[in-house]
This record gives sequence, C-alpha cells and structure tokens, in this order.
Amino acid sequence: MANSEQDSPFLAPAGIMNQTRWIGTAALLCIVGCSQGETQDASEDLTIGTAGLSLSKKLPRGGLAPEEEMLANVPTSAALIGKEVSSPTHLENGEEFAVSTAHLLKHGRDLFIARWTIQEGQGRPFGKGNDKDLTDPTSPLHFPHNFNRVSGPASGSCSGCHNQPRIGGGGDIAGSVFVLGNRFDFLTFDPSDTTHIRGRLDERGIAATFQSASNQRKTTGMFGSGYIEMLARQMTEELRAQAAACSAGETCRLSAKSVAFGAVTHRSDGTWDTSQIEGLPPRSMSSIGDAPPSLIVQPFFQSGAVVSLREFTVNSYTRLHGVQAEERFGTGTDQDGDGYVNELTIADVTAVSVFQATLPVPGQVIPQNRIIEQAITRGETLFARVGCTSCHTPSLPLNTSGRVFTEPSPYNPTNTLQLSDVNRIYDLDLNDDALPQPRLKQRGGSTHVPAYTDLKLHDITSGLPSCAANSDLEPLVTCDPDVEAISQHFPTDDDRFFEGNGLFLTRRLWGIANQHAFGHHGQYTTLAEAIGAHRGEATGVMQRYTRLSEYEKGTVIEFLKSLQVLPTGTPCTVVDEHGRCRQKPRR
Amino acid sequence: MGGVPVAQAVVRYVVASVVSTKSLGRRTYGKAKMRRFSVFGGALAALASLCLVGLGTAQVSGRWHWAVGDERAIREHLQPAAHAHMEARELIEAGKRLFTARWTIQDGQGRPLTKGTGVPLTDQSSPLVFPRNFNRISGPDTGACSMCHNTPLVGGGGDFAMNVSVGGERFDFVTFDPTDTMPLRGTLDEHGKPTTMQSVANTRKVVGMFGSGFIEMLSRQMTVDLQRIARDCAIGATCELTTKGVSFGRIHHTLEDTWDTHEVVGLTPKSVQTQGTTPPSLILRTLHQSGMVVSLRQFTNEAFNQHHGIQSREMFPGDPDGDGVEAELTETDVTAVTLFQATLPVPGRVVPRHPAVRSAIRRGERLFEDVGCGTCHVPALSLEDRGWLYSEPGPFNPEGNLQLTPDGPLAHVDLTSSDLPLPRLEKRRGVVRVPAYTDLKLHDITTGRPSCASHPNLVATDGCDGDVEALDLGVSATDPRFSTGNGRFITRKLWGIANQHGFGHHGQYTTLREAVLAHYGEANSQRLAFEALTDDDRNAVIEFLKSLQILKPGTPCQVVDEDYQCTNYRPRYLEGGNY
Repeated sequence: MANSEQDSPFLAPAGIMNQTRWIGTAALLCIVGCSQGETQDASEDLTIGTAGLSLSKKLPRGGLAPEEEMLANVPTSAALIGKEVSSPTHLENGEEFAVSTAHLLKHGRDLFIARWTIQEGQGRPFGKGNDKDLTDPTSPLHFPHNFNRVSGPASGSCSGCHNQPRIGGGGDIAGSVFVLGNRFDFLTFDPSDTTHIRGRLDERGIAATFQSASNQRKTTGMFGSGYIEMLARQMTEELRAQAAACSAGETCRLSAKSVAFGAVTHRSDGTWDTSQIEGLPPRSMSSIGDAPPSLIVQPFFQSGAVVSLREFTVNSYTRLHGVQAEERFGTGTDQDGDGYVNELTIADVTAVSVFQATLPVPGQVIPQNRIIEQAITRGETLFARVGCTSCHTPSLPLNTSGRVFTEPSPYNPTNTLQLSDVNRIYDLDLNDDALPQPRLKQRGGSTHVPAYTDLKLHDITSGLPSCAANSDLEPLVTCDPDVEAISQHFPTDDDRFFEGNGLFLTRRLWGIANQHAFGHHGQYTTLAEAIGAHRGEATGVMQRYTRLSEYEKGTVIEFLKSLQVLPTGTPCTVVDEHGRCRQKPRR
Repeated sequence: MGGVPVAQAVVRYVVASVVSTKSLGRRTYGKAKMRRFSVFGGALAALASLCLVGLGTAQVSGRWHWAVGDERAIREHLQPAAHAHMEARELIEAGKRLFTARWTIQDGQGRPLTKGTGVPLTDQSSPLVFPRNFNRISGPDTGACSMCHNTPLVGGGGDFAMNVSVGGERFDFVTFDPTDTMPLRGTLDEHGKPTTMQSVANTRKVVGMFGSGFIEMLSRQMTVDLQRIARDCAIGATCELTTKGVSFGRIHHTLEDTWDTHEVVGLTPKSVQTQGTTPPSLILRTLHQSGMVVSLRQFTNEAFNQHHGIQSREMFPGDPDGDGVEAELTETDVTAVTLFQATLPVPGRVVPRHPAVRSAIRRGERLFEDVGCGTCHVPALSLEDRGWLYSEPGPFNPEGNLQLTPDGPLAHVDLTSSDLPLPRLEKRRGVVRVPAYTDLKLHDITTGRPSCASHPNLVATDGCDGDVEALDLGVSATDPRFSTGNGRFITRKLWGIANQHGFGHHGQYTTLREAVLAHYGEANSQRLAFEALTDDDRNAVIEFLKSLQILKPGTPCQVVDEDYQCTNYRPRYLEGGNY
C-alpha cells in the first residue's frame, strides 16, 4: 500500500484537510440542487479520513485537447548551425507555379507562423509602419525601440495574434491591433516631445492619448476568407458593370448579389454624382472628372479599408513585423534600412495569401440536445424575423467562376501586386476537397457562402462623437464608446480623419462564437452586449429585438453561439458537441 | 501505480450541481428564465451530467450550455463537498477549462471598482465599465489565461504582442491624458509626475508554465533549507546560505540576537527584511521574472484579478470589485487551475539526426559550461526527499491565498507520474533532476547605466541601458529605488527557451544571440568568454540553446529528433558531474 501510494500521482494527505471549514462553506453555498444526501456524503468523506485520488484513466495521447497544434517552429539544419531565422527558405518568383499546392500552402503556413528575427530583416529601423520614412531618422527604431505595442513593430508573427481557436483565427483583446498607430515613429506620450507624429503629438500638433492615438481593434479571423474575397470581387464586377452601363443623364441603381448599394448618377456633363451610393468606403466612391468611381467592395479590415488578402498581408508584414515585401518596396530596395532587401518575394506573398484564402470555413455546432436544438432553430428564425438578416445576410452566392481564387486580385491598389504586373495568374479552386476541411460545396451552379454579412459598411453608432477622442465627454451620455477616435477612410489631412469613425463592415458572423470577444474593439465579453450596442441604422431592428421575450432573446444568443470555427478536418459544416457530423434540425 | 483501489479514487473535489451557487442570470435573465427551469425541470439531472461530459470534450462543446442564452464561460464551479467525486484527471481538466475560459461579465469578469493591484480605484467616480472595461496597460487586458500563455501550446509563453505591463495595474485606467491631475488615475505617477508609455510599467514577455510544478517544489525545498540554516545559526555566528549547491551568500546572527543580512544575495528585498530578533523569511519567489511571487497559487489569484477582473473568494471575499458577482472563483477552482499549471509537461530537447547539427549541439552544451554560463544557468537542480510530491496549498503562501494549515495540504500530486501529461521527469535513486538551467537566484546582468525607459534622452548617446526596467516593484513606491529602476531578474530558466517567445525579459530580442550578448554586470566575464570563442564555437552554443524546446504533447521522452522520435542523445546533466 505504501508503495502504491507513493506511485499514485494524487496522494492522500497524511491527516486529511481542514474538512470542517470546507464542508461548512459548501453547505452554505449549496443554495439550489444540493440535497440532504449530499451533505451526508460529505460527512462520510470526513469519517473515511484519508481519501486518495487516482488517475484511473490515462490522459489522451497528445494532451488534454487532442487537437492542439504547435504554434512555433525552430528551423535548423547543417547550414543553419548558429543561425536564427524563422524562414530559411523563400520561394523564388515563378516557383509558386512549379511547386505543388500542398507545398505552397505549407510554405504559406510557415510564413504565417514564422517568428521573424533580425537575421532575416525583421524590424524597420528607418521606416514607419505606414510605409513612409521615419519623421525623425535620428532616432531609429533599434533596440530598445525595436518594438512598440501601439506604433509597431508589435508582434513576432502573424500567428502570435491570429490563433483563436487555431492558427489563422481571431485573437484576444491582449493581441488587439492599434490601427493607425503606425503614423507615429515610436509612441511614448512623452510630454517633452515637440515633434509631430514622432511619439506624442498628432498631425495637428495636439497631444494624443492612449485612447486617441489609434483605433484599438480586435484581431479577426481569416477562416473562409478566400470565399469572402471572391464574393467581394464578384460584387465589385457587378457594380462596375452597372456604372458602365449607366448613360450620361441617368441615375442608376447599384446592387450586387441582391445587396443594394444605393444609386449613382451619371451627370449629363459626363461627371458622376456619388452621394447616393451606400455601403462603400469613401475611397471606392471618389470620382475625378469623367472617370466613374471605382466601386470596389473592400472586404478586409473591420472598417473595410483593404481590398484583398494580398494587400492585407503586405500591409501587416510591414506594420507589425517590419518585414518588407519586394512588391511594395522594390526589388533590391532597403527602405527600412535594416540591411536586408527582398524580405518577402512575390511568390512568398502569394503563398501566404493563398494559405489564408484556403483556410477552412467556419460552421455550426448544434448539440444533440433537444432544448438547445430547439433554441438554436428558433433563434435562427427570430434572427431573420426581427430583421438582423437585412444586413447580416445569411449567405451570398458565388457563381462557378467565383470559386476559383486567383492571385493577384484585379482590384489591388498600386502598392500591391497588380494584374498588370504579372504574365501568369495563380489560380485554385476553393471548393477542392483536397484543401483543408471543412469547405463549401457548389449546389445548383452556385456556392453559397454563409458568412452572415452583406459586405457593406454601415453606421450603427448613435451619432454622438467618439469617447476615445473626447475624454471630457461622458460615455453613453454625451459620447459614443463604439465610435473610433480617427477614421481610416480619410487621409490625415482631411478634417474628417479626426472626426472619428462609426462605419464598419457588417460583422461576418460565421465563426463568431469561438474566435474572440465582440464588437470591433473586442470589449464586449458577451454577444448580448454586442447586440445591445446596435443603434443608428440598426435602430429599428433593435427595437424589434428588444420586444422579444427573455427566452426568445436567449434563443437568438444560442443561435449565434452555434456559429463556430470547427475542428480541423471536419468533413461537414454542421456538427454536434462531439464534433460528429449531423443534420440541421428542421424548423 | 495500479495498486490504488477504485474505491479510494474518491475525493472531496466536487462539481457543483449545475444549478448551484450563482444566481442564474441575474443580469440577463428574468422570471422567464426561472420559469423555464420548472418547465424543463425533469430533464435537469440528465442534462447536468451530459453537460459535464460535454465540457470535457474541448473545443467544440466548450461553449455550449443547456441554459438558453447563457454566456458564462464557466457554469460549474468546483465545490469542496463530496456530492460527485472527481478523479485527479478530471480536476486537472477542470483546471484547464478555467485556464482557457474566456470570461464574460456574466461570470463576474471585470473589476469596476478595483485596481489590478487589488486595492480600490483611486477615482471611484469613474468605474471601469465599458468603454473603460479593458485597458492594454492597466488592465483588465485579456479574455483568458490561455490567450497569452499559448506558445507553442496552451500553458506556454507568448508573443511580444501579449506582453504584460507589470506595474501598469497601479493605475485605474491609463490614458496619458495631459489634463489628468490625479495621481495613479490615468497619467501621473505616485509622485505626481507624468508617465510615458515606457515608464508607466515594465513591459515583460509572457513566460511559459511548462514544468512549473517542479520549479515550485525546488524553490520550496530551497526555502526550507535556507530557513533551517538561519534557525540553526548561533548567536554571533556567520552562516553560509547554501542550498542544492547554490549559494545565497551569508547571514550573520549578531550578538544582540538581530540579523545582519547585507551579505545575503539573490533574494528579493522582501525575503531579506528583518525586524528585531525575527530572522528574515528567506523565501524564494520564483514566479514573475523579477522574482516577486511565491507560488503558482499566488500567481494565479493575482493574475485572475489583474488581467480578467475575476476575483477569487480566498483573495477577495465578498464583492470588492463591485461587479455584482461574489466568489468568482472558489478555493477548489484555484486549486484546480494551479494543479493544471503545476502538472504541465516539462520542456525537453530537439536534437536533429544530422551529424553536423548533433555534434554542434553536443559541443555547444559543453562550451556553455566552459565559458561559465552554467554558473547561474545551473543545468539541473535536484529534488530530493519526495519533493516531487506537489502539494496544495504550499507552505509559504502570503496572506490572501489559501494557507497551509497544521492538518496538512489538501492534495498531493506526484509530478513524476507517467499518467500526467508527457513528457515528464523521472526519479532515479530517490532524486529527480530538474534540468531548468537556472539557480533560481536574482542577478543583475545590466551595465549599471540608468534605464532607457525612464531616460529616453540618453538612448541616442548610448548613455542608458535598454535592459534596465523603469520601475523597481520590489520596493515600495516611497523608496527612492522604486523609480531608479530594476536590473535584477531571476536567472532565466532555459528549458523550453527556443520555441515559446522572443528573448530577454522584455521579449524584444528576436534572437538568442542578442540575448547572450546582452549579458553584462555579474555576467560580464561570461559574455567576454563567449565573445572570445571562434565563430564555430559561438554557433555551437546557439545551436545548443535552440535545442531547448517545448515538445509535442504526449512525447514519451525528453530528447527527440526533428521528427519527434525519441533519440539516444544524452544531455550532460544526466552524465553525473556536480551541478
């Protein structure tokens, strides 16, 4: 016995514990659900005296959660002895067409999880995160100024933040990104700093605060993002065709995939009145001379500031890691002055873009439990009935050509690889079964993408000014905490830049429940709070939601909770609580 | 193992009945919810057990609960009664659920009226409710333990993006707003001086908890040794404070029966303080990189409050944070999450098969000792006298944490049991060698120059030290040393160093080489010796350090090749020698 005790991982303590106190507390706390019998058990345990714990069953191999994947790698080889690089191999331009899809995706994943080091071009001693030169090149961003949580570089790797519930996903508020903080060289908030956009003073010379220097946003997930980009491209194509067909002197309705984007007027003098366009970022609405507005649906960044995964990727590598892609900074150019050029090749960027584009799609978890099933089903019905679906469109259709993801996007801005820069396009079928599961399937000529978004910008804030920019105002009384301090939609020399931002893309709800907290800032810990924060354009829907019974509201929450990123390799998009494929219950 | 009768596998750890302690949904559910309970009352019992099973199945089911619309992360708090018995495995799994729970306001997340230090807000008229419910510097700043402790696996270290701003929690809500005139609210420090983003707190990387049960048991045994040496030190004598081969200097018991501690080294001032005839506590505080925290339990209780606004009952009885929820964590919850951390696997070694790499690692491991790194980064310390039996609560917990009573600990766990997550250490001839590469002492390896964080004007002329922190949080704010800064850190544990985070206490060194070359002060001669090596030899040392990694879960051995196959490379610490 002595031996087995010694070998048991949990041993009975010699004199057991201070039982009286513990049991007393327990009795006090058992308000509901504790019967007389349980107290009885407790006292029996006391009289037994020593009670041991044993591990009667072994932990599953692979730890407590069999799915856990390693979030880091340490490359080594005979050629790398003593070297510390995260990405020892880069793809030569053109190689993206020569290697297998699996190889390209692995390379993309390696670049996504690479913790970059100064031995491969990490850091940007002389460059800001917004691609410009430092305001004060006499204070380069060398250690200890090589990282700055707000102005960046702010992270070691993409997956350092995009890791919930898995690599590629969303992220915790601790990993939130401080959007536009990279206008500053190195944020200090040092009152003795008198240089604009160096460490404290903004473009106007006004002292920024921790809340007003940038827009703090949660890390959103990239699952299913290939389908999202293709939806946006097809919608852009549709809108542009409508504008192209709009004769001078006409006002033409704009709509794409049945989503209305307002109207555009082609004036008789050939110019364009874009004031009636809805849901597009200002940069897609601007029109100079006779040129129609670009009408590009920008599906990335919560404020819809980015056209494609590729633009997002190139932006982020610069801003967050100081790793500069040659397609933006030029081949052989060392803009950031770190001694490295071509830190990412065009083929590298294609690989990491395609890795993100082909990540599995989120799905739905419907437990095998009648009460929950009923709640989810009812919640889904109510979600539509009160009008949530007028913006959170349950699904948008991609036609057959749309399921083929191509690089580069035809709508990339000039600072990102464009179609005109290449003589060969990389393409891949997003529905290919060989890609990571789960994926979508084509039905009746279309692939329906259940992302619960219309890919439009909406303002669901109250119309009050931003609390972050106005610390003297009172939240929810004279200012709106959901309005951001500055606007990503306008250049810094536009007055509207400092008027703040309440325009966001309708939140994609697929995968909403297990990637991060809620609201663009991630500061709502519950879906209930996020729903409660719908104002502005969503006021009418909110009023209808508010009139639901408590149970009915609970079912809507339960429906939203079912929208999750699924375990790797799940062969279907609806599973039960054990990850087994199941049918959706009938309404 | 195997000899324990099933009947003995009963416990005092209990999963409370699903409808237990928390008044259900007092925020979001009204009478309608309670009515549903009665409607579905018959199904309750079955559902309760289903729910418990379901919660154990990780990711998919982690978020569903049978109560419609409930958004609590944790619905079943562990109660110290014997209503339903839990096995150790279940207790550890429950601990993991608490470690990975993304807390919500329905759980009691947030601390509207309490600072991260645990004291009331300076400005009670501006409670920390939305939009002030999160603040990346002063906290709450994260949703779950595992959100930051996630590299390469849950329980590990974290990226620079997840760095913790130690000392930021002195403030209510950091703003750097120049119009703020109230000290310790948003901008001004204790002395009314404006802070900067660099001086307001010490930015530190998230360090991993792998193997931490062994570390805590080492420090407990070393504390016991030091306390015994002091107790046995006769009046008038000077006694060597040496434990497990590590010297903590000397203590002098004066003829007046007081204690002269100025020759004690490697301990935090708090552990060296002495008053009258009472000897200093000599407690090793091995958690937090600057050696501030005694035990995993203290670390857990404090972190839950600081980072999540989740207040445990043992540290925060009642509802001091004013969020309307009491006992946000029970004592048993804290025990479970502490045990989860304590029983995490130990890091190991990745030694590729390629002969050139393997021989570089072998050579680097020897050179590491030759140049003197092993003086502080002691390759292995020995746990003896059944020190591998981890117990909760520990004997040296400060007030506010569950205390060890004369009745003994509440639970033991054998850290060497192969039934716990692998890899783990084995005992041989009554000893467990713990290859953490540390002496668990505080050292100052900085240059002696002032902190760059508080003297940014000296950065350009190299007149400051980027490795000296702005604040010395080991002394009170009124002590002048407080704003002189801190250059003292516990010798970095090197096991698992290569794949958890960047390097240096701040995580701002992207390579091990930078970290090695940042050794000055007490480690100056070792750096010089490293620099004097040939290129090949320096590379070999780096290659050795790169081999120190967290291994894949379930790896049955501690040394594997690049394909995670167990390999016959034998670390030097196992080859005898006097470490």
